[in-house]
Amino acid sequence: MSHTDVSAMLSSLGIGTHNLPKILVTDPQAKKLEAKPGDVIEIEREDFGKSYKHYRYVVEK
Amino acid sequence: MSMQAEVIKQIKFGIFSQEQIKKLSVAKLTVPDTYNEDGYPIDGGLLDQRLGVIDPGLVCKTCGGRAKSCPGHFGHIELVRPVIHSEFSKIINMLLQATCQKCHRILLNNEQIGVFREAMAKELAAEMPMNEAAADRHAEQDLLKKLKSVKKCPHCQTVQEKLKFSMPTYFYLGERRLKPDEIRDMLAKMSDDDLEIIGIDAKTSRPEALVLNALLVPPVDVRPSITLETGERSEDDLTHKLVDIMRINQRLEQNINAGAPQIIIDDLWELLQYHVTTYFNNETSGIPPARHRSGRALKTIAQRLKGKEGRFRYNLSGKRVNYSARTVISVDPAIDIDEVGVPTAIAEKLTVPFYVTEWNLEAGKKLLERNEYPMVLNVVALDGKRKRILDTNKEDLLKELKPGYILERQLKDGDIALFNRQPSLHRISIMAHRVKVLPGKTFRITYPATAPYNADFDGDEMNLHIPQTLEAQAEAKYLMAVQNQIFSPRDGAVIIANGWDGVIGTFMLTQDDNYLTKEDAEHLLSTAGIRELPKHSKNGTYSGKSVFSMLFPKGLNYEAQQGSGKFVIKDGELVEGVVDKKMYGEGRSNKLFAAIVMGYGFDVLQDFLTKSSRLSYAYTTLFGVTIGVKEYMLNDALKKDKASTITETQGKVADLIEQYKEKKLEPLLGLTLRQSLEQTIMVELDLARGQAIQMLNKNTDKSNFAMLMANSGARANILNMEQMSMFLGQQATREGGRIKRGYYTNRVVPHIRKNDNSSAAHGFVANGFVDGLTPLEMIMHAVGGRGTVIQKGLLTQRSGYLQRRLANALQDYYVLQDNTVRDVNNNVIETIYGGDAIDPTKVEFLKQKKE
Repeated sequence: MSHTDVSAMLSSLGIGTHNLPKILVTDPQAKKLEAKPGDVIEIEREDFGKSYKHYRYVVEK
Repeated sequence: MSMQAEVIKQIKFGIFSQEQIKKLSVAKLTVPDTYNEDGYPIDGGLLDQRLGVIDPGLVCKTCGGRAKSCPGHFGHIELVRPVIHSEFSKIINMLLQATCQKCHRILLNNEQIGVFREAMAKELAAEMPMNEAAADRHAEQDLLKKLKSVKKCPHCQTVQEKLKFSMPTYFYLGERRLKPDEIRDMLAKMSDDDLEIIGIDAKTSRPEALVLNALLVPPVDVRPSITLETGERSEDDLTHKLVDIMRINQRLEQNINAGAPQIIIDDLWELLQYHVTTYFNNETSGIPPARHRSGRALKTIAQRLKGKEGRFRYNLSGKRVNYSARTVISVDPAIDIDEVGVPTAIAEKLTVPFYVTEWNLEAGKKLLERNEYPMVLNVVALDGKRKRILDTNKEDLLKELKPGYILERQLKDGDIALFNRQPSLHRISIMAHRVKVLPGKTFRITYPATAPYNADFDGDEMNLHIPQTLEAQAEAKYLMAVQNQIFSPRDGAVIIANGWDGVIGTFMLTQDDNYLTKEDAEHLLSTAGIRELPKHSKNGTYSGKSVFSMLFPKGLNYEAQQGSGKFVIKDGELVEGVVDKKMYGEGRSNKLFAAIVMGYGFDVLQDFLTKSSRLSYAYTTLFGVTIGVKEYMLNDALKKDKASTITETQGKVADLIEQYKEKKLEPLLGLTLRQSLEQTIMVELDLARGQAIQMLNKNTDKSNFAMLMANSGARANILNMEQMSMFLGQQATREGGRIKRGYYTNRVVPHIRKNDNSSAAHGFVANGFVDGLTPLEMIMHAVGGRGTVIQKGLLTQRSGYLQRRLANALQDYYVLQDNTVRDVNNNVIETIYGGDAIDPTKVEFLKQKKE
């Protein structure tokens, strides 16, 4: 996600990055996306046929 | 309601130093005894009057207070030789491990210290969120552990000797045992700066305080002695332990002064260490617990706090509450599902507050004047003081009554109460009921309300709580009322519904060919509280369906599949279908309730439930439902069916075995020939039972009550019936196969031949309970039965614990107004609750709305 998008999302939820679920940089999925610590990954999830957005904050450890 | 004045930002725990102990202490205790011959507390003894008094009449020598006003004061014992505080020995070990044995500096070189300090400063300045800071802490702790392997001190270059620690209190340097005084000296020489790196704030706790020179003695209020009926005094376990410590301490002192040999002194010293260790924790691993004269282990400090019966779980988390009652529960089909029958004795004791205001002052006075049952028991005045109403003060209270007073009035019909059965596994284990005061000694609930509590009436007890504020009452009434909990929060299935004789009646009533006389129809409807009759048919009778339709709200339309047919309600009239458990009982197949709620709301549904249950009970009573062995006796046609099924099946099995022996059997995919044989035999035997059920269905009279029960869903199913009247069928093991093991190899009991592969030899029971089982069959049945019981036990235990862990892990999550799921730290767990933000209890409403 771009930085502007991240701050928009965070302010709409009224939280900081540390309030998001975390993902390790060493996680295979994070590696695949070449994510760096501090990035926020946006995930399209599909449950019951409806899609919605979920977020992960990339951390070092 | 008071305002919150201050917020607690942090709490710091520290360790008392020797000086602090002495400052805190009001008395140095020297005599290892409690009372003298006159039964008077000895000065300097363990019940010294300076430590506070608990006997009425005595005066505390410290504060001058009496038993009630004196809070108790700490004293102290000075130990002649220091001992290690066993509860801290791990920390002592860590400290000794991390410091040089000669210069007592931390075993990190200056560069490492710098890195450490920098990290700590960053942590402080950044105000890292708690969980991240905790992770960093962990990394530091790990580093400290590695200091064990440092061989040479980076500051004074001394080669470190191997330090051995043996639980709970022994330390060795090389081969030599370190005595507590040496350890104390070593710890005392550590610098405050080094301690900071390790994570110890030397201002509040110096490490040498972990080795005790003086022992704080808790006040007598903490360890009161009890006077037995015989006049004998019995001391608290802690007092006993303290006597032991003081006695050894005194002996040690005498020996030292007398210049006794070192071995004797060391022995006593070790004994002192033992007593101090067990004083703190009598379950310290590695040492035998100190025992009472009777052989019972003493309950010392740690034991008072720890575990289920300890201070925390028993007294602090598990406080007892007022305004509650508990008794046995029983059924009452006459009350409403959202009512609870409360015994008069309980209703007279429990109270509900009546808040006196400007506007209800007169009503309050009238209430206060009453002298019989719903009367006021207590008055809470403006100062918050509670006064019991007596004949003597009633007049005065009436006069002084003014807005702001609270009258505590006895419980009466219609009050809101919370009703609960343990274990409280889900939110519907506590529901709000309306009070209905009834004679008798038990709480009464209806059958439908038992389901969410998982209650039955074989002696179950339940708890009743009376909400005491208007807010609490409103919350209970609107959020927790029984009729609002009809749909399960798990999957939206109906969980509060009629069952048993509550469905068999409606089932019989709504059969297609059922017509009632006018008298019967009137009787039934009037029990349900309906004073009108439906339209009668041509010959003046009333169809069962039309009678039942009187219960539906006006204009209800509903349609559902029922078996191969249909269940149709058109304009409040049941046109097609039968009201059975599938349509209107517990479970997900009941969609009728959702339809009623959608169109008319929960209160109408509740009304429908109550009325239909009364109708069903009345009809069941009128009709008379009863069963006997008769229901399970086979008619001639079925007898023939049974015999043919069994011979046919056994023939098939014999054939299969024959084919197997001749190696003609076609193996199944992925199975060996033997496994294939087993598999095909199993299928064949299971099929036999299915056939038997079909035959029963076909050839049993419709008026057979057992069949009626099974078909309506009231109790049992056709399989149960088949197993009794036809044959029991294949008995399975926990592994899912036929019964194979039991007596040595290849057979279940010695009464069958080795390698007998017939159906009977592996648990096929060809008789039913009505005919009786052969001895071999009975054994097979017992084997199967035992397996089932074990499996059931295992399953409930495991799934119960799993469920509990899940519930505990998730309990603090909540759904915010924007449908995100958050925890207490405002962390986002899910961006949309459940991926769709749908409340499971309302799934069925949504589905019906779409149609």
